[in-house]
Amino acid sequence: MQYSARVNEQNPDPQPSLLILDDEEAIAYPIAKYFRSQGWRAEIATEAEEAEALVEHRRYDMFILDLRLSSYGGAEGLEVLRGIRRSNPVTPVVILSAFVSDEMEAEARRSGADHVLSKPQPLKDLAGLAARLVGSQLG
Amino acid sequence: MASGGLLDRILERGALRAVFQPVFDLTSSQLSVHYVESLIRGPEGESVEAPEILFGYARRKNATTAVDRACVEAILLAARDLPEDILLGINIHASTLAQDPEFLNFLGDSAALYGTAPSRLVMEIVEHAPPWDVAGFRSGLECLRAIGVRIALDDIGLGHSNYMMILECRPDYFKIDHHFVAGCHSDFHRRAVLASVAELARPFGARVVAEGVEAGEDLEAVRSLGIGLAQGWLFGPALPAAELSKALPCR
Repeated sequence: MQYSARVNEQNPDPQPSLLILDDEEAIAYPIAKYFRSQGWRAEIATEAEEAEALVEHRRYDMFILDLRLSSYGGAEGLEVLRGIRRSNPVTPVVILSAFVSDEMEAEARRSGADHVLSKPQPLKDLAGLAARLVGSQLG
Repeated sequence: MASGGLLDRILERGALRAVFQPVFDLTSSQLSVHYVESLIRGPEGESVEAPEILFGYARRKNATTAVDRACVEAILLAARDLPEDILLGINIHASTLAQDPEFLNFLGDSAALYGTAPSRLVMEIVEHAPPWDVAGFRSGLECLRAIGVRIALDDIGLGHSNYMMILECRPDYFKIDHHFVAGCHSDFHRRAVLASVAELARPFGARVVAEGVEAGEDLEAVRSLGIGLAQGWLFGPALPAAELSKALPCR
């Protein structure tokens, strides 16, 4: 019983939940803090493999992903996005990247991203978009 | 937040914490502790504090062996606060046993360093990701047995803890996952599965552990099926070694 916490348990919490994947903590933490102040349960992953493990075991209502995760080596955000889409075909995914190009945006959308935004984004705008996306999923 | 990658933070000395959960013997007139299983918690405040995230992350980083070693050290260090005569269950991935030729030396050295006799150890075999080297695994198991370590097969009935693994491990303990235990008192089919595992374990000379017992009715159902060992929240949460030592019933 190494994994003594229940796995794949549906979250009974009515709070909307968000996973932020960004290797820059200076970016991820303010986003998480703002979303928490708006009533979300916001978690942070700074590596692709960490995000993948979280996605395997926990349920989220939305994802905000960076695509370039060079700080610690390992997989990139696009792989995480594709993995999310295999298990969560309709959960909203927003890409937040400092390197948005037409080519990158097209690739991200092909891989299942709902929105591709440039960094930085006003937190209020990001939260407003999230509320609309999650509201449309729930409603 | 420390600098460096998450794996570095996990492997830092002191980052992993061990807690312990007793496995109770149901066959004696008074509830007694048969052994304690160690459970790992990742660095506090991190996503990997939860063990399923910790090991899911380690597997994706191809770092299961390194994390298993760090877990063993954390457990043996913490277990110094347990009574010296109590058996100690340690989870280990089959892949670590198969692929890390130095693991057994590491285990022996660590056990000696922290004053734990190998004969006190119950290695609980888990595996969540095939494939692994079967020949290496068999060899590792033989070496463990040779130094007096008992073998438990964890999560029987789920994932890779199947009939093939039962044959490979020939375990001393069959541990049945809580999925089959929870609600068994009112579920004929769950009881049928539990009874079949109990029957299967008998010719192996093995004992069966019902994991994740949370309700008294389930405990009675398990006992009535001839399953002699149980653990779970019904008996209390997993505790740090010092707290558990105070809480343990007289043995």
